[in-house]
Amino acid sequence: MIETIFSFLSTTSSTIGSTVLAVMVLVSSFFGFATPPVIVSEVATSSAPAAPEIIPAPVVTPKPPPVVTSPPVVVTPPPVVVPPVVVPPVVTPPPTQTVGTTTLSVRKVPLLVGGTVHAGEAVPVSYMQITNVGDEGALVTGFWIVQNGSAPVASVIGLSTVDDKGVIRDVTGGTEGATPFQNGMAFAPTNAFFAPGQTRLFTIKALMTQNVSSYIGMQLMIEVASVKTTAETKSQQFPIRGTTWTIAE
Amino acid sequence: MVGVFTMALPGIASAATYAYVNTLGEVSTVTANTWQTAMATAPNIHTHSGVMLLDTQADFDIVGDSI
Repeated sequence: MIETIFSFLSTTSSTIGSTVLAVMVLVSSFFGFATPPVIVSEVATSSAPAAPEIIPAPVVTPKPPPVVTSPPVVVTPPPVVVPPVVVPPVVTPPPTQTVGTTTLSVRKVPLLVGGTVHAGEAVPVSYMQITNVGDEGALVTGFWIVQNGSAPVASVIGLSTVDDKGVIRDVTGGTEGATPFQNGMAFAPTNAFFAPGQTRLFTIKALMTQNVSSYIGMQLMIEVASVKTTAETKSQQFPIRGTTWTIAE
Repeated sequence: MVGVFTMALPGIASAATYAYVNTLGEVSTVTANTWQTAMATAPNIHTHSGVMLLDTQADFDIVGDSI
């Protein structure tokens, strides 16, 4: 009896196990695991021919391409164009030119002899020596002059002043047709500073017109009537007589 | 003695310094006995220059100046 029961149980469990195994195989094949693991037996038989020895080929390490050392390329930088440095002119401040109350001594320098003046010439008409005899600075802006000769004032088209260094201080007129004389007087600008005790020599020059044909033989006699200055002036005599020039072609 | 010397050398006794304007426009000097001699002997004197006896310091101040 017992053997029968055990036989029955064994048969039943075997059947159940086979069934379960079949179901699992089906389910596995459905999810992609159809191929059951293959167990390879490693049992080697002496009768099988020996597999040829496989000599691994030497690993050929590819050589990197030779590095061609090119000569160093000297890159010449583009020339640096340095913009010209514009140095602003050094403006030397003028010396202290404090203008105060002082006295200028003005006198004629009798070194000028007149003569003949031609068309377009600039001739000196007066030499003057000016000295600041005071203790403060003075500014001379120019000279008032008159024409006492026989020539019309229209014969003079310009006036200039020259200092003791030969530098033209200032000019009025100077072009054909200019009329520096107005109402018989003209102003010759100079704009010069006089330090206390300073002495300077000035020349007043007159520029003649190119059209002197109607003034031939007439005389130019320019006198300094006064000095325009911030200071008091004293002179041997005002007007200071200039030289006499006779106009020629 | 001084009088005799002066009479013997009158030029030296009365020599003086004169200013004039040369051809460069500068005030120069010349030593002469008279202004006429100064005019005649001043080197390179400008055509329109006269001569001026230098007496005071103010006179000498103009020597060398341009004119």
